[in-house]
Amino acid sequence: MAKGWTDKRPMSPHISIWKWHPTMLSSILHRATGIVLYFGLLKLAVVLAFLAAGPQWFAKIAPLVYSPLGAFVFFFVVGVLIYHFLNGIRHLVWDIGAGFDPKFANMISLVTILVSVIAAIALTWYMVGDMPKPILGAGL
Amino acid sequence: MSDFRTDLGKVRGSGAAKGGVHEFITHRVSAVVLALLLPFFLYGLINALHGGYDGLIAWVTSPVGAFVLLGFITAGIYHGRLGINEVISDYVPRVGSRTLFMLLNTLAAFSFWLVGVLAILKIWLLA
Repeated sequence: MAKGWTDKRPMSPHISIWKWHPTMLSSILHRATGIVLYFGLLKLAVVLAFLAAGPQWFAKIAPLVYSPLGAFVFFFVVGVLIYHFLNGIRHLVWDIGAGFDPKFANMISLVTILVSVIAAIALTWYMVGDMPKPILGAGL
Repeated sequence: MSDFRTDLGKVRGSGAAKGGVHEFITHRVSAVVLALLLPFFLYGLINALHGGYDGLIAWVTSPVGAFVLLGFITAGIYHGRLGINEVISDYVPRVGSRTLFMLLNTLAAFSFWLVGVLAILKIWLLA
């Protein structure tokens, strides 16, 4: 739609034709990450239950936690968590009536996404790289 | 902006949702609690994961760890339940199924919260 469009005036949203804005993306991501985090919290409760049941029960889920899949889940959930945290702070700032300037809002939307991806990569790197190897097998 | 509300609507004082001030405010209060707890939660979780089973137990049995975990799981599931209810009320048009989904969501939230809290308390008290 945007191709060959020379009219400078703002385009009106026309059913399924619109332009993606960073603010729109961050709004959709906030809801999507919120849903993911809800299931993450339910998973946390289940993991805590396994932990409370004793070492022999925790040993059943430990191979999942300390595995490439576990590392990926950690990366995904931590990234999503940091994004929802940062964007949530933005929502709280909006609630006091600040931060609505379109240019700034678009910029901070992209910065929020970028920072959460970088932070998730860094924390996962720290998690996996510094993991004492004996934990992977013995000691459980 | 023009005022499109009817006189009766103004007297009743409620919009299409019929309510939600409590949910609006507590959603934000729990958000503040979670934002304050998150750095401690992430720091504790990453440190604990390094120690395997013993590390995780040590985290849950430490006073700060137990406080942060109990606060995080309580505020988190409360906040999440409100968020999911908001999603349900946005996307489920029929009142009957909407009520059913919200009820199921509330039951799931309470059940998992109870499981998490009992697990933390068991580890903490029996350590």
